[in-house]
Amino acid sequence: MIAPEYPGAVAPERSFRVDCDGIHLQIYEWGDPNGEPLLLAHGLWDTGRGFDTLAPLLADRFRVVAYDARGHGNSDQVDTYTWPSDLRDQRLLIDWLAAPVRLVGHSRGGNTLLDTASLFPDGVVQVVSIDGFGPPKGGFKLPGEEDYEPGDPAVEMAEYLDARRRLASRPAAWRPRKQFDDLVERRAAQNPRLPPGWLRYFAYHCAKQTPEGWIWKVDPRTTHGFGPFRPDWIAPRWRSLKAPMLAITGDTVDAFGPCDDETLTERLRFIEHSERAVVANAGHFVHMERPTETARLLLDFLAS
Amino acid sequence: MIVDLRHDEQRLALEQLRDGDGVPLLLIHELGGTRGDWDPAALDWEGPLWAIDLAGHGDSDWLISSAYSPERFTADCDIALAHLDEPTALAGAGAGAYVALLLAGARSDSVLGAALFPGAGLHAGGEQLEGTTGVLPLPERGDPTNDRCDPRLCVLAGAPRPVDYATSFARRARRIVLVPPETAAPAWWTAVRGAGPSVHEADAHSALRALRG
Repeated sequence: MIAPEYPGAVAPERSFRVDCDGIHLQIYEWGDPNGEPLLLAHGLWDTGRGFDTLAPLLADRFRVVAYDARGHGNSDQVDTYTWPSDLRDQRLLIDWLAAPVRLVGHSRGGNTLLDTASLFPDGVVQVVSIDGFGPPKGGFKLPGEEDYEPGDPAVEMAEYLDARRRLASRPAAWRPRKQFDDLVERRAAQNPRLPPGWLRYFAYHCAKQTPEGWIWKVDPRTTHGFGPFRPDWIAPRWRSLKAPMLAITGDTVDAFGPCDDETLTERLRFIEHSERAVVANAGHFVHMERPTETARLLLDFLAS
Repeated sequence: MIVDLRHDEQRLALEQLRDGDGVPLLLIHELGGTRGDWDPAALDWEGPLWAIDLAGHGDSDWLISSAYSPERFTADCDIALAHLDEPTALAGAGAGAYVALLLAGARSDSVLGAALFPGAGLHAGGEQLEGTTGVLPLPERGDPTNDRCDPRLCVLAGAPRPVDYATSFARRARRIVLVPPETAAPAWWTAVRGAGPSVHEADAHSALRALRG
């Protein structure tokens, strides 16, 4: 299959893997390798190639460094996935960059970068989160799904333990899709706002063909959770964030965000220096839907 | 007798330290400890004694991911519980005490109660971070030159929970026996002490007797 093209999408100028204390993470870079580093973190089930339209717009000013999170894309698949392990990887990547760094993350990538910058503030100059502030109070949900109702954590723990017991006897696996277009169609159903041409480009770089069919390059174990969780537990830890933070959201609600204004305000009040920006006609995937507008906001904020 | 259990792709070591008549007692060591830390002769328990090495400790596999968490440890112990397949009591030390609390609350159908002893990692989870790094200090024997445990266990505390998280488990557990630590107790411990009629306090010598009720 010939690699699809997409207007404005630029493949990384450099691509290699870095050993993060035993786990190899895939790195993609654009711009001057000696420039000031800007680290990009993608969301759950995406990869660093999801920044192919945004990164080139920032590369005149920064050494733009995107990476595939553990279990995603071309990074190592490991044995277990937890929130703290993503923070550990980000901390090690910041150490590896060995320079004051600016952080930009989308969705889970934005949320984890906020936590990383809160827990390990050394060397972090500024942080931008693109719709990565935890799920809405009713949880992330696809059209037709019910709101999430928090229950007793002990009951939720029992459900988590049941899932771990099942996993002990039956390893997780994705169902392969016979045709590449089937995979794109499946993703389009989950992210209906993303342009079909972009989805084909994105899926090509985030999936692989196996003898059984096409599958996402994401370890299915990333879906098995890490125990009981409440959106309300997220924001209080941002009290220790010292770096200035920009919160970018779209103005249109889709399956994965943004949170309603009241919820977002409630969470951001824990951050000492925060600004907000809203991109018009964008849903959760702000940087994919509106890369030019997102880049303009980023360059303005990061120059301040 | 050592039993090899599997949790996902990892090996977990579970050892029967002593046979006996009655309810089995599953022992969960402290952070940086191993199943060998328990002295069967010092334990006032008539039933079989079983001890587990948590992931990253002793003869259990180290996680390639370093994704250690109290919840993951709880799942390790739950795999052991499934293996024992009968009503069981728990005793944990330090981080193992916190894990025993979570398991006693989540599996109150099969866990008869849990005795929570002080030890390394007692602060694991259950607290909001307040200007801390969120990284637990490892006990000295967690030093990388010591092969008793994975030195990367220090990522453990990156996802703290509020104290009412711990109390929700205490309220569902059939019986919790708290052994007071000599130093300041973590906030979750203090909250659990007031969680209800299923929670009792005892000194280290009488804790297992108190667990039997």
